[in-house]
Amino acid sequence: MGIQLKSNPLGNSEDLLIQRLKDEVSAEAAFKELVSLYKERLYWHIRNMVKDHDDTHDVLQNTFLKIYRNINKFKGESQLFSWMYRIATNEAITFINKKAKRLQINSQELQDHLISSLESDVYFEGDEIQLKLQRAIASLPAKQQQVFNMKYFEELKYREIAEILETSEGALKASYHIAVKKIEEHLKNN
Amino acid sequence: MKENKLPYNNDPGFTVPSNYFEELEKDIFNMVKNADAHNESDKTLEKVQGSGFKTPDGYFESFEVKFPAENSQQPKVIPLFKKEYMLYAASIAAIIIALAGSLYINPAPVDTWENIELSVLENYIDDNNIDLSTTEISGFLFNDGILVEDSDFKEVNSEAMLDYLDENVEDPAFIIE
Repeated sequence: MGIQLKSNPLGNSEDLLIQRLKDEVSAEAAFKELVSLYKERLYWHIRNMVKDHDDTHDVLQNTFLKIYRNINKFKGESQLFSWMYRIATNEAITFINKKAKRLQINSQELQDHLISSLESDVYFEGDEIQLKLQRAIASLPAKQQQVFNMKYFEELKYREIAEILETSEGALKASYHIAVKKIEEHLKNN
Repeated sequence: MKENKLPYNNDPGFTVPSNYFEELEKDIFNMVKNADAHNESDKTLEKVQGSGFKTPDGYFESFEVKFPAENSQQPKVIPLFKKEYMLYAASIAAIIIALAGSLYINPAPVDTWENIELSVLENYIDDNNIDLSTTEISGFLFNDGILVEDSDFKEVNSEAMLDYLDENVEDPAFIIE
């Protein structure tokens, strides 16, 4: 993963962009701007969940399509970035569940399958310890995996993760702490 | 000068478990050792720089959202079977099937003389549930378990009938009639 990306690069100009997205005249240009700003952030968010580049690309496409088609339903009750992250998360989870169903395996078996595939993935250049870390993450429950990825790799703030996952910061901190302990344990034992 | 002495001795009266201070040293040592191990594992995690994932060269530069072909101009296709018509047809068919099914699958039982058990009918009459005179009763006779009516006797020879009654009926009142 490259440089650290701010989860909400728009800041105060978010409202203006939303207005432009909802206006038919400016929608296309505004959407291009939105894609340009968020493609990398959402890509890495999805990639950490689905692992494979091609699958990530498909999920990212679907995510942006949903954002474009549903922007008029966005009520502004949360920030735009967290709404988009939420769509990306749901799309990735749906994709993972469908993949497990297609391969006729359960979710844990799918996690093992994804990690095994990494070893021969041309778009994975991790060393031995990075592969170990991916194995350790795959052994975590889904919710802890999400929290760990968002905190450790994407370096999102607890406040931001809480808004995306619609949960409390306290629960997230506990979840991350447990995830780190388990991963450390896994790394030590393996 | 008066000596400034406290009114109680130096012993506060507190005690500690036996070997406490010897054990304390070990406990502190273990605690520090575990903390070191914990820090070491933290470092193990810190050693991992990034997830190891990468993208094809120039992926983000060339990335664009591909909209499905539905936005392109395509000739309008008129469906042969409109959804509304299909719904109406399906509803009517369902009603017909339901009615036919209820008639043929569960036909209502029809009461006929054949369906009535003879012993039940006899008991019903014996229990005086029917208020009939003997003349009326003679209107109905049972022959080998089959109910017969007056009309069935029209072609019966009267002499043969008298002979039959003479031999089989004990009550002379029936013969007189």
